[in-house]
Amino acid sequence: MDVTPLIIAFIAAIISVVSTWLAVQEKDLIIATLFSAVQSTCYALLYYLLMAPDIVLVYLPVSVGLLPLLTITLIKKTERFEE
Amino acid sequence: MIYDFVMSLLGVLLILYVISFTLYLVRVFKGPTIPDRVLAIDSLGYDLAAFMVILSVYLRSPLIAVCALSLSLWIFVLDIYVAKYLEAREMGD
Repeated sequence: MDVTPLIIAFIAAIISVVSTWLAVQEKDLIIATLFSAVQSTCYALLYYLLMAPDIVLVYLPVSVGLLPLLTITLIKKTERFEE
Repeated sequence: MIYDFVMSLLGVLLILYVISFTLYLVRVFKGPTIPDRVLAIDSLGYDLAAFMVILSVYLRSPLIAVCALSLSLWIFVLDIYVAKYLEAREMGD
């Protein structure tokens, strides 16, 4: 059995945990949105490595396309920096 | 013979791509300004698309190569959102 996809999935999972932690901690909400996009990209890679390409095709437009659009529109209507 | 050579070459390429992901992520996490971070995420997405295609060759399953197209198209949208936000703030107010 080839373990290369499992090692890459392990790395992607660790990166997604770190970027989620940074997105929660960050005070600048635009940068928090960018960290959230990194986390979504890592999740897409995880779904891909777990051999679910149909879920990747649905997850990418929602997480990379719609979610930052909604968040940035909300930040534009309100304040950029969290207190 | 040639098959083994190509497979070992793809294994080396996968390691190189993982190293480049690490460098991009350092720039995303440390980057002083917002355009640095956005550009790093952009490059990370395009690299990831190439990585997915290489991985589908490596795993010999051509069906999963479709995801790279979707990823490389949708990562670009993030650029447009952030650029529009920053530009509107500077021009509008």
